[in-house]
Amino acid sequence: MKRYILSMALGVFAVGAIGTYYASGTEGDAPLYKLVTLEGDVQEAANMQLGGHYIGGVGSKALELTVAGTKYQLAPSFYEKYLQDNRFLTTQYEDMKALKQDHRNFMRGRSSIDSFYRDSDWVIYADAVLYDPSSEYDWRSELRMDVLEEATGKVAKHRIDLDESNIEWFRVNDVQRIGDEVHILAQVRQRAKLPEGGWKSLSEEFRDYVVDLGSGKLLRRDVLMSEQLKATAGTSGTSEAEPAANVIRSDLSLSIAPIQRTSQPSEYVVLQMSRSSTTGGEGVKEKTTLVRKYAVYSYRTGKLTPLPESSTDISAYSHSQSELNGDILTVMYFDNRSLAIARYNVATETLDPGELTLTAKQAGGQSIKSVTLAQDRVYALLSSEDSNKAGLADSRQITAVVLDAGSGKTLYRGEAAYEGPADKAEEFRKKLWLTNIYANRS
Amino acid sequence: MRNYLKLLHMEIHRFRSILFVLMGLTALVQICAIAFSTIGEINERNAYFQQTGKPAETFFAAMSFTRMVQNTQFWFAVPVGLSIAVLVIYAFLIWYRDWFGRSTFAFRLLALPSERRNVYFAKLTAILTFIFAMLGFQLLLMPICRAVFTMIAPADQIQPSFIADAIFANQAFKILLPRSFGEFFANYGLGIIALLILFASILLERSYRWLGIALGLAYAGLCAALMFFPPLALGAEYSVGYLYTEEIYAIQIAIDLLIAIVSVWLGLYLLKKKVSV
Repeated sequence: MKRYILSMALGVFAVGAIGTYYASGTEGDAPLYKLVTLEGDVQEAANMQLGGHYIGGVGSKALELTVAGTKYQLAPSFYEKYLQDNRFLTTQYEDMKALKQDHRNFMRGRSSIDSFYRDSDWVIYADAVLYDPSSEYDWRSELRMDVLEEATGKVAKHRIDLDESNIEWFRVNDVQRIGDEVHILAQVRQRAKLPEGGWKSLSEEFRDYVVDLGSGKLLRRDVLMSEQLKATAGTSGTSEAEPAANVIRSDLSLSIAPIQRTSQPSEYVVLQMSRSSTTGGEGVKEKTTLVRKYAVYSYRTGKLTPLPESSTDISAYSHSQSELNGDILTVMYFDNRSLAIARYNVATETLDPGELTLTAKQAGGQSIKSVTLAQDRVYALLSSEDSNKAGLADSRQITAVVLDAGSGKTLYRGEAAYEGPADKAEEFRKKLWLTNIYANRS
Repeated sequence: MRNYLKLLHMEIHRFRSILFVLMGLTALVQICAIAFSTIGEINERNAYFQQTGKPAETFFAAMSFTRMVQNTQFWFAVPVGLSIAVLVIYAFLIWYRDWFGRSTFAFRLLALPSERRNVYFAKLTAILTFIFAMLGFQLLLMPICRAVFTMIAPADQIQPSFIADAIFANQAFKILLPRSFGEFFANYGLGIIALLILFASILLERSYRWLGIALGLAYAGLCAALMFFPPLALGAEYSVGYLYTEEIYAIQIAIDLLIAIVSVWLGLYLLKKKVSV
């Protein structure tokens, strides 16, 4: 036996060393933090995630902080890395996860979150493709609509040649069913061929393609909104905005207000249009929103109604985010000093008279580091440092708040705390840098 | 089993000197790298203090073992690279030295009154033991290097470091000793399959000589294509694909297992039926 001692020692040493290393944890210096409630109901923060970094030693470690604790993504398990679905669409959205679980084959190869519709009877996926039959960059467009009947599990595939030319790009923004009609709301960019060769972007449009659910025949197409574009200095997609002396870029943005689950039925869709210009010279650039408009489109009546404009004071904010929750459209305008909220009832096409404006000070901080709107709640990361102060604030200066989007009432206020010895708490809070706030749209 | 263990011990015994030299060289280079780098930084700090009159902390970050490993990546990687190269070469030599070494040792090995598969598995286990022993030694060396660093650096200027962070500060160790055991398992699983393919190719060459070289290369090429092509072709790296990522990886794992089984079977078959001295 003695003669084998070298072999045995080597084997035991190898297994022991590697086993001990992995068993003792390989995350290294990765302290754990928790969110402690300063005010309100912790349940209100259940969907809230704070993103940031622990900065200690060499480099930094990204982490996510929730009421459940800290999560570092340093050492994914074999299951997480190789055995579970890693695609964004089918892992990040609850309705997509449910669709994959119920209709695994139907969900194969799907790419666009906005292309789904689901009710108790039907699942519909509609997408658009551009193809070039002549190989001369003269794109043709085709709608592809797959319809799954929940009762039978049968899938009907419809391919609809739109017989349209001069399309630069085409994207489906929303799919809804009203009776036997499927409404495919698409965003289309039109272009024109230049006599000297090449192409010029002309306009961006929202179009409603109405398709028969059973036969897949195109019943009609309506242009809901069309905005002209101006091609300047090689930037296709720039807008016909008011020219200013030092405008270096003008932009047009068309989008729809997101709903909680993109596949859920909704009779309305809110179309958003904004024009902005970027001014400045070398080094300093400033983006200004020139126009921001909202219009509600009823799939049932086919009526497009511009929503009343909110007051100039709040629509002048540099950033905005919106959300359609049932019949209520909430638009949040914000910058790093304050936020303002306008609410509309899209069914009655009225603006809630009580526009809400809330400064960072009123919310309990000095500046807003990050803010997001979800499910009628405003999630904000507030800093006790002034917004003009350069650099990042560590977690000692940061509080996370959840506000009611309607009343502005504080529902939750919390801050990060170190889960370790109390005498080290300040030191470790100093090393935690929180930069972003997110909310799960479950 | 006893025959297998005897053969395994013999293989380990034959390589022990080289293994210990590699371990010694690794320890020497890495400890020296840490020591010289730490002394160098202390000198820089002292020079700064002498020139400016200000304490070094006002200009330099706190001294940490992790940063020292990061600063000496090249010198940490040199013995690691050398060890890998030696082990790869020895994966060939473990077979060929029996044929081309002193006396026809292969004849005696193949004539042993036991199953020939014991020879195959003893050689395989020996190589794996060397690889994991070197890895274990590297893990043992890290706290020793940290102790050297702590002895040299001024105590009041040291920022504590975790071994796992120091390991991860070196790019080479990110692959050799990943933070996740899952990745470790996957990386070394692929490495073991590569070793099985290599053994099958060597035994093809030993069985069919010149034709065997072509067969061995073809077999290795086919296996490499099967190991790397499906995930790319099936779109594992894309955000959209007909197959879900878990299905693509399941296919890949099945292919890899099949390659491993076929390689072992082929190796054992050739060793039993075709290899001659």
